[in-house]
Amino acid sequence: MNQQFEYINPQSLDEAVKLAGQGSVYAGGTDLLGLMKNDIAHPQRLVNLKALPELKAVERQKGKGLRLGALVTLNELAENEMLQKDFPAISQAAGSAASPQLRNVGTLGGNLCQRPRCWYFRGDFDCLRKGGATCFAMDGENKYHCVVGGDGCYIVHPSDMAVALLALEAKLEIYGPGGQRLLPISHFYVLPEDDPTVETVLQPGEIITSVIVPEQPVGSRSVFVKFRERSAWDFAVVSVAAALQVQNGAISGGKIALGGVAPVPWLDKKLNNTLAGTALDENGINKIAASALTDAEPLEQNGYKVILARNMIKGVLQSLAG
Amino acid sequence: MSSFNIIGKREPRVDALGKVTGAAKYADDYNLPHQLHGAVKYAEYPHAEILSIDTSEAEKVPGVEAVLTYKDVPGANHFGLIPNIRILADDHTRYLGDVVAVVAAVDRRTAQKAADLIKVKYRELLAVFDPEEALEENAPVIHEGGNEIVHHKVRKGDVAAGFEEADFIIEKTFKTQPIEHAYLEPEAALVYPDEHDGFTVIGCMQNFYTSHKVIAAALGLPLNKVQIIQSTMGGSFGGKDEAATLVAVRAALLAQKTGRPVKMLSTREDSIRQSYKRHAYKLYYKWGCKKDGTIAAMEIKAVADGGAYASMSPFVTWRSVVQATGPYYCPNVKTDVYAAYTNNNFTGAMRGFGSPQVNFAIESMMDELAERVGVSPLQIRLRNAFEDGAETATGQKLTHRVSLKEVLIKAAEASDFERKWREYRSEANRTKTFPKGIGLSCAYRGVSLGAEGVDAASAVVYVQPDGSVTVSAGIIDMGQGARTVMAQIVAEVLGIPLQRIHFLEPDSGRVADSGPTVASRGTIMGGGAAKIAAENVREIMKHTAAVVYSVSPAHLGFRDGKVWDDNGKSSRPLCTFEELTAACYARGKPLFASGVRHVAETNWDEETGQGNAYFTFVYGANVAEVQVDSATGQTELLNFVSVHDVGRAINKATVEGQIYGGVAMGAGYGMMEEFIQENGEAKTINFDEYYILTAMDVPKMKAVIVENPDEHGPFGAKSVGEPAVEMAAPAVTNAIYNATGRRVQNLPANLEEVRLGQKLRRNVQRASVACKIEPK
Ligand SMILES: Cc1cc2nc3c(=O)[nH]c(=O)nc-3n(C[C@H](O)[C@H](O)[C@H](O)COP(=O)(O)OP(=O)(O)OC[C@H]3O[C@@H](n4cnc5c(N)ncnc54)[C@H](O)[C@@H]3O)c2cc1C
Ligand code: SF4
Repeated sequence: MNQQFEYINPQSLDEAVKLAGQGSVYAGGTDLLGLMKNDIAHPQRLVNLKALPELKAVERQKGKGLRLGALVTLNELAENEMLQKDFPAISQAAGSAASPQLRNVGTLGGNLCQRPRCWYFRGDFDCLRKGGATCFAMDGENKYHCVVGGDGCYIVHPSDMAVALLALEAKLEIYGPGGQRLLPISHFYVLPEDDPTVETVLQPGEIITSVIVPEQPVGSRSVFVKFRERSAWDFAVVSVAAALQVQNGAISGGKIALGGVAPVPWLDKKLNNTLAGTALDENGINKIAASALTDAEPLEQNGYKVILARNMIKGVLQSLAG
Repeated sequence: MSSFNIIGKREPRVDALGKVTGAAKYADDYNLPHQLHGAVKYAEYPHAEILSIDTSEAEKVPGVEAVLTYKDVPGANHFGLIPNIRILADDHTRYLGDVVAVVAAVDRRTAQKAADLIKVKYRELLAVFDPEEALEENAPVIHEGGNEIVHHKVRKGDVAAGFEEADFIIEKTFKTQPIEHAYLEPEAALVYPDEHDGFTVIGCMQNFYTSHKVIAAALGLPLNKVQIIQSTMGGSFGGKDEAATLVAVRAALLAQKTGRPVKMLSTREDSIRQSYKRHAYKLYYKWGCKKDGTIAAMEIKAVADGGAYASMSPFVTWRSVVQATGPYYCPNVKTDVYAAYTNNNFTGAMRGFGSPQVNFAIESMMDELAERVGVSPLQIRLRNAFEDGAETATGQKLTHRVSLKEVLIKAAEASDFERKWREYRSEANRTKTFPKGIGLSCAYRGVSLGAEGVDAASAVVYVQPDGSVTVSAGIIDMGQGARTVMAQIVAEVLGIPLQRIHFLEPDSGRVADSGPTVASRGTIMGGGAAKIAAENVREIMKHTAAVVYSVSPAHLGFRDGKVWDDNGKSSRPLCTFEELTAACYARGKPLFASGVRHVAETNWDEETGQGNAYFTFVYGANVAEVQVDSATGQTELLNFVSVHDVGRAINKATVEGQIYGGVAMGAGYGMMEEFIQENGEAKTINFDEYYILTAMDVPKMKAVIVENPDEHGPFGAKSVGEPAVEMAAPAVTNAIYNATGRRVQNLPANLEEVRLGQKLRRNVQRASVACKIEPK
């Protein structure tokens, strides 16, 4: 952290948006401070959002679904009883991220916008994502990198929340200099083939104000499972979020999203096309699992992720069937 | 036995309150007016010749007070057991944690900015990252004289004849990984010029007697011009030897140059990048076995990665060679252990010190043998275990109580081992999605330094005129509880409450060189010295009491804060401890005495590897119970039983603390810890990437303390610090085998190893590479 910056507490969203154009939005700071310390982000100005109460609400309106303010902390999401009951994937994802200390300050908006954990990116390497010429992971240590969707850059998106929200088909409310827009989370993340230097479509000055989760049809069940190497403080090696409707022992609708396999939270097409109409018996479950990541192109060290993801999908479906 | 007052009690740690209230001061908590801050300039190639260093831009930065390179070191720039560690890199860089220059400036940020402006011209050299490759003929040479740091041998009997005799042979190769000590407190030091033309160093050095010599030599000053004050230590585990010395000596050089106090501090990233690790080993084990499960011959070769500098490699690998065959009978042994230089982080002392690696191999082999013979892991160990009077591979006859069978049986009983082991190896369990497994391991360990070096420690006990007591010792407390244990020993000898004793921070001006606080020697050596010192003080008091009360000194007892006449059948109190203290001072007898514990019962023949390696040994056994997720390979630790014969537990709570911590550390070594380097570049430089077990991963643990007092230790105490950690990994991997039928031969047993039976990182040896790390 070798430079000076200005720290501002705006009193309104409009002021925040105006100021954020030439700076970085600052929520819990758990990711941003690390980026600054590691010399990856060099904001001239930090615009603190924490003084804006309108970003802290958790509301549920009939017909309109759930509205989660961008500044709600991960811990608040994990401990919210309504979410635990009706949107368990959200509270499970929030509760499995990072550590209690980080969950107490880390926010939903910050979680969705955190930057990748690729160790070359976080280290002293001038790689493609930092504007350099090459990707060091491609032929380097790539055990934790992506197996699908990589093109020039092979990160995995680190957010657990995004995976759960993708399965639940959430939308993001974004406010910026050009006004407000509502964007499905499936359109929020950017693949390296489109631009290897950013992860999201957010424009300068744009702020996520809230996340809208549609009310799930009756008979829906959601779940989030995460595989990690130690039980706390750890990012997903692979994660699976499912929000499915089950009727008469067969899946009638819904989505499965995968984390840890692609540069963005991943909706595997073939997998999701296999869901509707398939019975949740052993055959059906095997068929669904086998349809996942058929287009994977693992790097030298991460082929295990394909097996892992399929086994985890099986586990998730078995738990929903049981 | 229960005639002790304080020995054996669960006394709370004397330093606990300060630590939980925040009153305890760690190295970085010390600050002085006008102090400067240091920063380092790292090597940019793991192996290169340094052609020139241009510091001119750095010197121009406002706020910079000094920029030093090796040319500015007034005294010795090299140090170490084999003195090839450079305080500042001179001719070459040998790993990426080498420091080429240091800067002192008004604040850290300025210092770092200036350090980044230093320009170094290099001629890149071929680098080598694999120790076996480093020993090959045409390998790049890292130090003059070749890459072999050391080659230790043990030769006993006739292995060829032994293999001839054998009914079958088991041959396996094992690999262990380098790991980071992961002490909570990274290295830090504050050095200031003092009023006597010398320098005072406040820091967290594990072996501050060594640091003292290194710093004085580097500054070109006599030892008495450098004073070391030990701050409270936030852990060390063997790690704050040379690594902490390097930080302190660089601060000292800057303080000497600027005449101002200088603070040098490693961030976690600096600490992991610079500091030495536990040695990675490759182990080749070949056993010739008989149908009855006994072992006729063992042939063993091990190669340790010493990294860029020798550090403790010669001693670490010596312990390996002594203990490489385990606590098992075998008439014919040929063992060769090598350490080699590479361009990886150098490796050195770490809790275990050469034993965790060989124990992993031995205990895996033992289970393989059990499988071949068709008996349980417990039965095979009992069949081969050393007993009283056994002769080790180095020809040493064990004259102490050999409690190996006792600890094995206790471990098996406490964990219901035999029944579970049988149940879990069934098809019914192994084909489950979540099969369970249970694994056993045991080990013996030579206590203290052994024939490695001079083994002596000293302590000073001072009973002040009011009857309060201070103890100074050369053994330091890095969190293991040494202060408490030594205070208990002194309290026992003087018959006063623990609260009356104050333990002073070690200070190089106060206590004679006690050698390093390593090798689990704190209690047996440091505690032994404290006991002698306290007894010497008590002698003075006895003589005074004898005169004052006209009793025989032989009959005097010290208990409950009083002095007693224990004459024959009756006991009567003569006076309080304070009254006797006052009487002594009134008669011109200051109550101040030192004690020295010195053991010289070891010997060693370098050529044959025969001799009395250690003056005594300890014995322990571990049982791990796991559940494996067959879909993902993830292993969950369910239960852990750890049994140790500690001779005598001076404080049961601190012994249990050592055991619990040891299990967490040892199981982490078995399951997830790994310091990953790619072409010499550290990849795991903070705890988001370097995995250690968290509270959520630690199993339910049961510590079982066995006590067979040993004549060498104070009140019979031996040691537990390293035994607690050294056999946990194979208990875990043996449990995984029990659950899955698959043997883990490469540590750690992380999910890829368990699920796929291999590491995903390149196992192939890479040719020596010339590699460039993008300089920033
Ligand atoms: C050790 C460690 C382990 C972790 N493990 C996990 C894990 O297992 N799973 C997981 O999902 N995450 C994990 N994280 C990430 C953590 O959850 C995020 O750092 C946290 O959620 C970010 O929230 P924040 O409020 O602190 O964000 P900040 O650090 O304040 O911001 C992060 C980024 O988002 C931007 N931003 C913040 N809020 C908004 C907004 N409303 N609109 C637009 N941009 C915004 C900021 O400008 C910044 O670029 C881990 C982090 C650490 C340090
Ligand atoms: S994966 Fe992406 S972030 Fe990582 S090194 Fe390659 S380009 Fe950089």
